[in-house]
Amino acid sequence: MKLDYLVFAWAATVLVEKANPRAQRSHSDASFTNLSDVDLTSMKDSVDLGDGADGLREYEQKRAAGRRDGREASELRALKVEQDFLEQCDGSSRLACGGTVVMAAVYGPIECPLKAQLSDRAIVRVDVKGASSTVSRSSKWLEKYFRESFEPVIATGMFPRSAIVIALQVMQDDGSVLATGINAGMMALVDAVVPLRSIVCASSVAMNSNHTLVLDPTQAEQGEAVVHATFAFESGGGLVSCKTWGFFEDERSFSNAASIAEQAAGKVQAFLQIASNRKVNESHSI
Amino acid sequence: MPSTGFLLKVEEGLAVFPGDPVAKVLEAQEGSAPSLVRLGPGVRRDGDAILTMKPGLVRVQAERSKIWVESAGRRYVPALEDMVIGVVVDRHGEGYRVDIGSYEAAQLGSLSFEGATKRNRPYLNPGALVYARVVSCDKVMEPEISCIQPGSSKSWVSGESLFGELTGGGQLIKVSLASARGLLKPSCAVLNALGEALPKGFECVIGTNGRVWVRASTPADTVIVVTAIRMAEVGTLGPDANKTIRSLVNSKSI
Repeated sequence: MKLDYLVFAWAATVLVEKANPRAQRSHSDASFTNLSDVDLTSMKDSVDLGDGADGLREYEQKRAAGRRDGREASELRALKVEQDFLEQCDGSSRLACGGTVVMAAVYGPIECPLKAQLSDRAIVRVDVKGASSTVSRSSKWLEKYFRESFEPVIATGMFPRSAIVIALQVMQDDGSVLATGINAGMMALVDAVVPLRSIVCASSVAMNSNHTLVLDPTQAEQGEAVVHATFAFESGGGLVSCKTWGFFEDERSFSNAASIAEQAAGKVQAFLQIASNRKVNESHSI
Repeated sequence: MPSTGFLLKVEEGLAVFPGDPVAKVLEAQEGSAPSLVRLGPGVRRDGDAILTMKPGLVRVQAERSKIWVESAGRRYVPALEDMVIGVVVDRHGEGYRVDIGSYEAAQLGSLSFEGATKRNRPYLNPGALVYARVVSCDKVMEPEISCIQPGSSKSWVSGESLFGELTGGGQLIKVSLASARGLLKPSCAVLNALGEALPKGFECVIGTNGRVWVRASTPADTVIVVTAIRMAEVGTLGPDANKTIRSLVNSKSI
């Protein structure tokens, strides 16, 4: 089947003020000490420097978030998705979010062994394979987390005594692998034409040592974060699942993180919708 | 919740994503005749909104107030009155277990053949192919198929009945569900072109479950038909199907 390939780079909405009003300017980046001494806000009021001042201001804001790849605090990495490239399974997808790539394959509804059958609905089984091939306790926990994120939206009541199997393979891990896994798995479910009540999309938020909430952290940002969390939202609204590593200092920072993640999840869903609609419109029929 | 009313805001042929609202059902106004709103595959009702459950194109049949989503998938889910090709898996006292591609094998009664009696009924071995009709597909039990065509008086013995065992060789191939639907249309370009191009003709049985059985007078012709169907499925037949198929027929390599 034809490959569908879509590249998207999302511009940020400036949510950094909402998250932390103090994070407008910071002098934490030592390699640019020359510019940090300049007070940009006073310059803007007195002299109109045209595009240069806007660029500098934008640069200052990005520096304020202090991210290595120069993204703003609420900026997603570039998303790429590919569908329907595996022959043996009913649906497949490969989603890349910056350097994190997860491949998903869906089989279903298929025959289920008698012992595992449920009389009134289909069972949902998730198999997760990380970059290394060993099976660990954490991979078993991951399977449970993914299953609990997918199961609420799959119309399992339509196929009693059957199984819907979702196989996730982490190809590359550069942070936010849980969120990318959920998004990839959901895209594969759509590709397999499994009936879904709505769509679940996820994104991660981390709080770095500057107390700035950053969206879609990389592996390095996750490692040095005070706390990071993955939120999965349903398209009609509503949190489906949430996993946190570390502790949020108070309820306000947690709800700020959740609202940043919800906006980002909405963007991811819009992206998946565009990719799917494009494939539907371009599909060839006999 | 009103079950009669009108469908509003339906765009035929729109590409949809699961969870999209495609229509609203309004209560019938005073003085106008309410119509039953029929929901086909791929849509569900949530209050007075109709939401999609599958990705695909929205289709509407206005005169019957029917709305559904036409989607392309590979996994077959049995629906009533579907005509399917099955492979016999097992034989037991009451009949046969037949694989029709769904997650549960279907039941075919041993007397469910045209004109069959206890003393005079077909004997199917595991691996035999049958063309049958889905007569029951309640989700609480296994689907049931039957080779009886209502209103027909032909007997299974003569081989003239529409349904029954597919004998005499031939090749079974698997196609996508959307391709099977396309092949069933009378205007199907590839089958019409094959009929014109092959001098001795061919026979093909198309199952709604994504299986096609092809039998032609020579093995070479069978290969041509199968190749042409596969090319049509992926879209490499080109704009002039007749020309491509004639070149296939004339090609000495087959």
